[in-house]
Amino acid sequence: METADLYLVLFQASLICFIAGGILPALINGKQQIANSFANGCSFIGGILTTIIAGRLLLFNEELSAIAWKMMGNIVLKVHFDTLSALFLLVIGVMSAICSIYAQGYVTKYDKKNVAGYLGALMNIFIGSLIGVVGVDTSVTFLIFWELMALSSFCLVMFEHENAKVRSGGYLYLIMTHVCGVFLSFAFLILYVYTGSIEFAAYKNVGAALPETVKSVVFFCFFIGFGAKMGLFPIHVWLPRAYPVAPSSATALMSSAMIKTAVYAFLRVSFDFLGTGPAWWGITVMAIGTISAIVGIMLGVIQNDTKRFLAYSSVENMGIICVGIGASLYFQAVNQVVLGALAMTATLYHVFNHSVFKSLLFMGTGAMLKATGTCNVSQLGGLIHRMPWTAVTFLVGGMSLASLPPFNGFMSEWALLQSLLHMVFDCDGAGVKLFAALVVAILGFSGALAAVAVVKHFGTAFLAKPRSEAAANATEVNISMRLGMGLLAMLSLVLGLYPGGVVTLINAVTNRYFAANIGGDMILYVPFSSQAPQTVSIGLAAVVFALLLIVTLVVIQWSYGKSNYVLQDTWTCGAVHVPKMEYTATSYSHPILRIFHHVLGLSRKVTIEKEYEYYPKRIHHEIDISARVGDNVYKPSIGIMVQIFKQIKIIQSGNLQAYLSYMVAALILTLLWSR
Amino acid sequence: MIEQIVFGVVQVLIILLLAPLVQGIIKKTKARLQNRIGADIVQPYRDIFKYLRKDAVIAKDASWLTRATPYLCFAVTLCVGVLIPTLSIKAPLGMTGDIIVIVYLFAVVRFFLAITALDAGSAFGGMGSSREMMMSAICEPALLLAVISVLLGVGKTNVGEIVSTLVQLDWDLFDYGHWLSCIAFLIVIIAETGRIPYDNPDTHLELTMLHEAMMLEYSGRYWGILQWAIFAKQTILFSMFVNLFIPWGIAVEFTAEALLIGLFFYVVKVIAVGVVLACIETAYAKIRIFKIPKLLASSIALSMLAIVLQIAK
Repeated sequence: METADLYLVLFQASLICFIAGGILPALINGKQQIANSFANGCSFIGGILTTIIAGRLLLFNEELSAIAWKMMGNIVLKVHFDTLSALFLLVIGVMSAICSIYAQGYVTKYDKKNVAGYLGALMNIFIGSLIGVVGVDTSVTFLIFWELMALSSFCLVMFEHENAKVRSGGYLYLIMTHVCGVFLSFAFLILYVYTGSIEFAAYKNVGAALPETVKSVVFFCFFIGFGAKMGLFPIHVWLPRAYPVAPSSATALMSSAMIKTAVYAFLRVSFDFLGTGPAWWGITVMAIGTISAIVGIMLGVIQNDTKRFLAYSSVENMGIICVGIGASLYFQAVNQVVLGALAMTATLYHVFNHSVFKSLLFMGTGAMLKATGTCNVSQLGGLIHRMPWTAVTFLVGGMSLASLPPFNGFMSEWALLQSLLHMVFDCDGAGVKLFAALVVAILGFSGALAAVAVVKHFGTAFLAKPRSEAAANATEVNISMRLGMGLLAMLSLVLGLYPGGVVTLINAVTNRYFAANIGGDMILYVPFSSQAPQTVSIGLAAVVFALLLIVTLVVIQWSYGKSNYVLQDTWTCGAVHVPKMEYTATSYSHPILRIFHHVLGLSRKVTIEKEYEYYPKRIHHEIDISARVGDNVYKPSIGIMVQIFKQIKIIQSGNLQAYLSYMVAALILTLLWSR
Repeated sequence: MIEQIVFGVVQVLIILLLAPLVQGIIKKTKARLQNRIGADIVQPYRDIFKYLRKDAVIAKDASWLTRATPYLCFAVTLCVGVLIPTLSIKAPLGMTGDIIVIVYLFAVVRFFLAITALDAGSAFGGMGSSREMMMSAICEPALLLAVISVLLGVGKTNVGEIVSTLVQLDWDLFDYGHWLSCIAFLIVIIAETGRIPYDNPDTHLELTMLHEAMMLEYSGRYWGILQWAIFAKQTILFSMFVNLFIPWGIAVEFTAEALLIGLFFYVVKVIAVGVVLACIETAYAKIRIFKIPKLLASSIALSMLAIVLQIAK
């Protein structure tokens, strides 16, 4: 069979999977078991098929063009996958396959509600829309799929809509999505005005034809539009409210695949359409990314709800990705080819890594939630004894999130820091050097804060004594959930130890924009032109580590015999050790809260019920963190918007005659216009 | 290849053997400065070997993490030991990792220590862990900026190559930028080794405790291993400091004679840094925990100044 045909068959098969999985389970929702298995089976097979397509496209550097749907005559829905979209297709494929394994077990949480079929169907529609977003090649179809993606994810967020918190999070998400939609439509309209076409092919390198100001306007419209979807500061507010309320299997997919589509689209418009821009674009994007990273993680550290923390950490990671994009834009502008390739490799590598570890952590949190009914860590504890598998995979995910070797988060962090350090060394301009140095420091800081947050969440939820009945009675989750988490943990380790595989795939993308290859097998090396190549290999370091560990164990065993220990209660100065004595999650992050309370906007209320002055009966301590943005930017702007809408409301009289006259007036105007 | 492996093994052994001695000398110096006789300088060796022989007590609620962490930290620290240059400008495994890897490997050590501090459920451990992680978070930008200010003149991140470039500078190394970053780095080193004015390494039971509190639940063999790892970490940090800022005497060529001279200078310099830290420790009092950010901010300011000076050069 011809390769093109093979692709086509595979692609059609995967589409059929997603469409079948998107409709049938909802119809047979009565039979929960079958509906669930069918839906997840569809997304699993579809995911595997798309993974194969994407992998092949990247490996052989090929493109796939296909007509997905012939509506009528010339109106067809075309998809076109080049290497850039194939890379994101790969992320979507792998993640939907693994998420479906996990979802198979997770959905039993909703057994009483009889909704497994709907959830499965929604997931399939969602995955289908993701593939559409990265695949389509006209601006109109792009916006349609973008909207479909937003709507299907909105439904997923609203899945537990009985809860008021869920509803408010869901609506906020919907509003933000549409705000970003406005900017995107506007930018695409400008492009249409200048090219007279809606085809992406016509936009290629349109930047050269646009006037400088228009170019910048288009760029920043896209940046705001996609940045809102990525959850960049200050338009991140929807993310920490929408993520925690969706079912964990859906959140895993949203955080791993959905916000990555925004990265895809932003790369597409900035590198493919607008081409090389002025250097300050890159610097601005980097600055926004850096601020998102630090603000996101600072707000994340102080959360006690693991899902909320993970959502804030998504803001941080998207910030890091944004720094990478900004750096590659800058390097492209100043014509530093190797560094540009390095920064872009770091960005795309981090896209992979974030997908892997963030969905792993969301799955782990989902397991926690399923076993205990809460993901507020201050009510958990000791889960490592009752849920050993979940604990290990969560630890792997957490270490990766904190970008600690040997897991994958470290490799992309290394590549990014390396490119930023060389921005300090090799680029011209004192301002740029100083700026890059600060970005390195701030990224290091946010990485360290991420480690604090991981220790806090893992430590309070999984270690020591259980703090509640629910935590004490928790049991390990079922096999399919463990399998899903286990696969991602393995992937996390492999991506960290052996960067070669994924770097080879990424090279297919970076080569489109930069004429330099970042090499990789077991060793990742950067071929700097001015000096010897820079190499790093966590794989080799891990071998040395393993050898050292074995030698240490053997030598100590051999010279001092077996290690003996006795189990005793934890020493508490003579009292009986009870869970109340353990350090709490709130106090764990309190020093950070106190040091940065100017940034975080901390209000603290202590009320003391006292009998005598020095013997309080009860102390009530309340801490409220209001992110400054929420109070100082959003609330006033909502007020202004409401005022404006009140003015506009006059035309919405509710009178049928009035509406009919509007329509007639509109019709007359249109006729006059087109005369 | 064989030569390199042998060199790596020798370097690990040197660090392992030197580490308790450095600690002993610091303790002795402090004791003498405080008008005490103090323990022998070989006391840390005796302690470690005694601990290794002892059985351990482990908390009932503790998990496998408590038992794994000492070995993990020990091996990771030694792993860093082969990534840095000590007596020769060549690091045995220089191509596997640069200074970023070193920083993050130390972060792994700290991560595991902080996590196991929560394992037993004691409030002391939690408090120590929380504070240590807070301090390390603020340390991170200070450390990175100090590193950048040194690297700026070199344009590389491999520690071995940095040192060899610095050695070639010879007396030109004496410039303001370099010494500013030297002070900035020293401030960070004190924080990383958990010494006064950040933390008091001599006490366990004070509410000011950071580092020591994390390991309060350890005993017996685990404690011995862990202590050795921490001494080794201290020595490695000192080696990085001496090789980045006072690299003279380091073996440039890979010959027996040069290596011996290098070894001599290396040991002397590392011990000298230890003595200086002991003097600082005696001269200052421990500061309040919420003043730590200010001290580290001063390190950041110095590094920024150094960077500006380097850029202007």
